[in-house]
Amino acid sequence: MLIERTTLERLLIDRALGEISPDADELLEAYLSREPEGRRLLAQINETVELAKRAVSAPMREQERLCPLRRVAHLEMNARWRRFRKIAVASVLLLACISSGFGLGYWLFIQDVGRPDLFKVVPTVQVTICPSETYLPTTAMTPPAPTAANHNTF
Amino acid sequence: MKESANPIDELYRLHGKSILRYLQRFVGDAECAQDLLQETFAVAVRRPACIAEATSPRAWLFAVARNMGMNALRRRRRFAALPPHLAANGRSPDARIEEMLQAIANLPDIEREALELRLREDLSYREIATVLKIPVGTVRSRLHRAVQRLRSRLNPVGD
Repeated sequence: MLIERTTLERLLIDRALGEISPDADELLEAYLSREPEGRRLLAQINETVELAKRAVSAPMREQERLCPLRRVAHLEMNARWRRFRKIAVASVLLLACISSGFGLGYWLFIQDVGRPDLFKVVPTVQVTICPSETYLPTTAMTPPAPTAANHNTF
Repeated sequence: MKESANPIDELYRLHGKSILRYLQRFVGDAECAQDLLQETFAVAVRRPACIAEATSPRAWLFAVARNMGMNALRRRRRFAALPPHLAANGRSPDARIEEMLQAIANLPDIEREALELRLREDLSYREIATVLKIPVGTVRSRLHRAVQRLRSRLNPVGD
């Protein structure tokens, strides 16, 4: 069985990067033992990965040394404080809304109590100008004066 | 003594250095990287459930660190064209390593990032996928392309 070059290359790269299952590795090893071209490819890929690994693994400089974690306790306190602050702000807002509602309601209530006649029906005076010399005052609650019925005939 | 029992402290001790290195390469500024590292662990302190539920806490921390780095770069409105340690590193006595550094520096960013996470930080394909928020298959193909590019650069007549 001949593995396609592209597939073989992928398998070899996975192997060099240490991401191949033991079963597949065993099969690959068996295949490579019969394929000198595959072994050459394997050597190249291994060399490339090894060199890349050495290249990127430069030692840490002095300024890269790890500082102590900035006070875990302090961070935890910050986190706790943030949670508390959230709850506190939400509670204050809720209380403010409730207080405003009560305040507004109370104010309206006071207004009503202060002006008890606000919605009472008050009789008004209606003046009808007649062409005759009689000006008869009347109220909305009373029927018009009998003389007012005659003004249309004028 | 009491602090060492803290799981966050333990994670910091285990992965702090590698995350710091990663952040330094990411933002190109040692001081900024230190701050971002602290912020990364501050996030971990705020979200203990995420750490507990993560398949790989290390990958989760790297993902948070990467987000922090991205935000820092966005704030600065600049992107490092080359990782500073690669651009400034002229002290390697080995010519082949020097050549390899150049080859890595010339890789596309997405491939270089995946390669460095694999080779330097020793993250698995799955962990890299978590950090970069991409499928494992994409990680695999990026790494394959990166290694192929490096190989063809080092062995021009080998193909």
